Amino acid sequence: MEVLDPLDPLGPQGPVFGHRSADALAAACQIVAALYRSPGEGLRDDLESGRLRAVSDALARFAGLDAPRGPHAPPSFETLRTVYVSLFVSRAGGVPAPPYVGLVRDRQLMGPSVTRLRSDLEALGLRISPEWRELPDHLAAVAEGVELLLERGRVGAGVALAANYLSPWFARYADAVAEADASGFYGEMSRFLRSVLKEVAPRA
Amino acid sequence: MKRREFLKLSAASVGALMLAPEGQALKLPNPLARAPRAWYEGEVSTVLTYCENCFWKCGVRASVADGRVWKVDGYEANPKSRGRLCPRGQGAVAQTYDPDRLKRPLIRVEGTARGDGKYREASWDEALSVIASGMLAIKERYGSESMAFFAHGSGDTWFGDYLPAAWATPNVGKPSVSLCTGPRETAAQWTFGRGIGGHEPIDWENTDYMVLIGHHIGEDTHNTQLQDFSLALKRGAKLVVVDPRFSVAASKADRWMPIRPGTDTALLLAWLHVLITEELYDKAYVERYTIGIDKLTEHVQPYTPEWAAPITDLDPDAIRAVARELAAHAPRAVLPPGRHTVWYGNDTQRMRAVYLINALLGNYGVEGGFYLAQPPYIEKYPHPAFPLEPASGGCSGASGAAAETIETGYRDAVDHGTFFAKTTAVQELIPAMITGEPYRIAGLVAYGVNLFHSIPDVERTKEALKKLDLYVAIDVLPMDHVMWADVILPEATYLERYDDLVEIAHKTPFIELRQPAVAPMWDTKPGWWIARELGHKLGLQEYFDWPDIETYLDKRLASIGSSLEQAKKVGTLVQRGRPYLTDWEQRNLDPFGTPSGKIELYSQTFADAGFDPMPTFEPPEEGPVGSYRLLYGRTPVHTFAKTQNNWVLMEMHGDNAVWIHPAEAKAQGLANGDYVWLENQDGVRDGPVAVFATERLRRDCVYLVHGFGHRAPDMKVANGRGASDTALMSRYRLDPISGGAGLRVNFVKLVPGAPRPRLPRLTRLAERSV
Repeated sequence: MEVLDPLDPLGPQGPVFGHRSADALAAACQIVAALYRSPGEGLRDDLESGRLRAVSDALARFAGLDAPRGPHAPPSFETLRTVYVSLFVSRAGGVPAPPYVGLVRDRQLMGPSVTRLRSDLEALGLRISPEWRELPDHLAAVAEGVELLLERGRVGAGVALAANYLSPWFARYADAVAEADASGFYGEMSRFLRSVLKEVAPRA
Repeated sequence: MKRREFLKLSAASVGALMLAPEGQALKLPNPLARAPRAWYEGEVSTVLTYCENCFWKCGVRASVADGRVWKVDGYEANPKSRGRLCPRGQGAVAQTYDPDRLKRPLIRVEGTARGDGKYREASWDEALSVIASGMLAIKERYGSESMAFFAHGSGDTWFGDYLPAAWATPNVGKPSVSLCTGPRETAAQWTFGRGIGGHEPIDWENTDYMVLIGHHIGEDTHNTQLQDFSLALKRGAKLVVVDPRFSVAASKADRWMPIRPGTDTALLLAWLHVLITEELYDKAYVERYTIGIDKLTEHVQPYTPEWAAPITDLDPDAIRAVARELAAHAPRAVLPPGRHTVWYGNDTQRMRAVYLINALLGNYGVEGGFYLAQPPYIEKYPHPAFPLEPASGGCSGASGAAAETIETGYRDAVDHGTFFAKTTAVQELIPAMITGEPYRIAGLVAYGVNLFHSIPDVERTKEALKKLDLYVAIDVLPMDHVMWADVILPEATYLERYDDLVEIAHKTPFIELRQPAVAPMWDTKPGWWIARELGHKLGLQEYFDWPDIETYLDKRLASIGSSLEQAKKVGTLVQRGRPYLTDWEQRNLDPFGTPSGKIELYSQTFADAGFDPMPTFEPPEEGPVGSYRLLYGRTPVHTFAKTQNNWVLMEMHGDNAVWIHPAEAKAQGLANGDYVWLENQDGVRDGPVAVFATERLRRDCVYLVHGFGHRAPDMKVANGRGASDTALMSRYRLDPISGGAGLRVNFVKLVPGAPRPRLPRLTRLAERSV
């Protein structure tokens, strides 16, 4: 294990984290950010170009896991869009996996955790883009924040963000997605990411 | 593994987050380890707006911190709230933060049927383009009139008036007219020459004697109306409640008259008889302000209390006593019009009878009776003239507009000719979607109207939806009918949006501003924005030439020497009114807009149109043996079928029960808490619903609180709780004058053996998480 990034020291009590794990965490968060945001041309491109497959395979190799089959033979993009709505936006019986940190932490939308997340992001030099048509505590936004920080070499900050806002609930969340996903794609990817994050994302 | 081994995904970098300029990050040892603080410990701002959780439109103060509304209170300077707020108003925040909200535009998946509920996300541009293309195709094929708009709520300005008028369709329906206030408005128009309006103009603060007829103040709760009513009682005003049910208002009454359902007009005629034959009416007032007293005197001769007693199941002495007490307290005695007046299909005549009694008491335009409400002065936005003027009427509109035909160059509404009033009747627009007669309605935009919980004969509505070429729903929540639409547009809640100015006709007329307290969540948009963008795609730019709503509102406010900036600061702009007849007479003005310029006890207009010029009693039809007349009403913590997914309100009132007299329940072997199905005269079944055996109800009827019984699986809290009265209304009786749909003509029996619904506890649903 390598020592934490000196630019963002977490203090003596903070998690110790290595650059290789940080790279893997960044990659995992890239996939989280890509998968859980509203499917658009970016995801279509990632699927058709094989980029999603390549990143997933690389992560699987790193973590010693079986590579997920989904990116190799994904459902049609139109199917994914429909499945996405039923999992995360609107569905009979209620949305099975609402992708919001605050719902897990506070059991309400836009509660104290969102206030805190916003303030924490600001402290880390990040702001929610005005173009973001989702809630600030959306899973994809948090993952993007982690990835962005790690990408810029601010390992401690990225790790801390993940440890506070991603790791504590993602495993449970991934199970909920997997149970509700009729297509298999999101379910398989969620469980794969759960396993990866278990390896590379420390808990607060 | 090296970083370069990971490719960059394009989908991951769309940009939820922005990096602040270098150096702005805090250099704390662990910035995430700080202690959280409560919302009120930070900077709290106050935004003045008005409530949408019922349609009284109370002025409110929204407390905002960290981009979230945390609390809503009544606004002291607003005449609708006077600093107080009902549970619905205070609980409204939970709707804005409801996880089940519609979040982004949805388009029905190709190959699926309406009602299957399969959708994909769409951008606003795509969704509005699909709608515009569908509307233009309908216009090309059938004419612009073949698009219908149904609208309810503050935003109905855009989808019930502005856009349909610009588009040029007369087929615009508002449930607030033909399913609610239509008869009372039409009756008022042809009796007083003035409508009642959305804020019932009762001079509560000066009245000494009140008679409520099927008027559930306290259950059908409107903030200051309830405040004023309570203050009147506290001041010692006498109260009589006429109702088959011992309502909350009845529990406060000096006299409860448990009338047989459907016989109210007989009681009113008997009161007219006593007032006239005993010469108890205000002769000077009647002489000066009314016409037709001679004809009315002759008309009411047969209607003695003894005649009315067996019809109404009321004591004739009590009938006589109330008439005398009314007269003794006149003119500070009043029979207020209720709001929901579509009962038995002869409702305009019943409301005429109510108004005639008020006129004989000499209370119209007089202290302690009705004040003369006036709308505030303000100019409309100066757009070019619409091809058609808005004609649906409204809760606070001129629902009793003249019945004359105005040549417009467009076909008249499809319901024209089926009833007298010029307004449209939402339920009467539906058959043309099915039959194509007199011409086809091929497209529908439903804004804020729950089609399955407001319009009777739900199966007919579903059949109609299936036949449409285009069905668009604009709403905040995935209501039952919304998930049938081809395109679903998610509207921002009232705390997140501007709307058009509201003009309240009142003793002191006033204008209210709705302004956003916070930005819209997800990819939701305000109604004005949706209407404007759609208008542009439809080629109606000339009517939507305002670049944004701020410009539109500022322009209108400038016409009264104000500005948006000022309105944002004060929220409510109050003007002076002319509440009493004396105020009009001082200016030599006539307040009565009737053909005669007086209060018309006898309506020549009705006579000429083939209707009774004075009210007559029609016995209500009876139901099948063993069935009960289905009555319905309200609860003070819910508004129609709009609020049952609000967990805060549901914790207070989480489902409905069917009220039945204990003797009737016992005869059927039913006990409190048993579950039954309700089955109506046509075999339509709804429930299960719990039995509430209570002596607060006559034996010949049952009662349900309206708004429950959602079959909307996307609404996790509301779904499956209680029974829907609307589902059981497979019949209605059309009021041939107002177009109102008389809804109390349905009968149900209780079918035992229904299972107790297995539903998640509300407290669990309030805590939504995976």
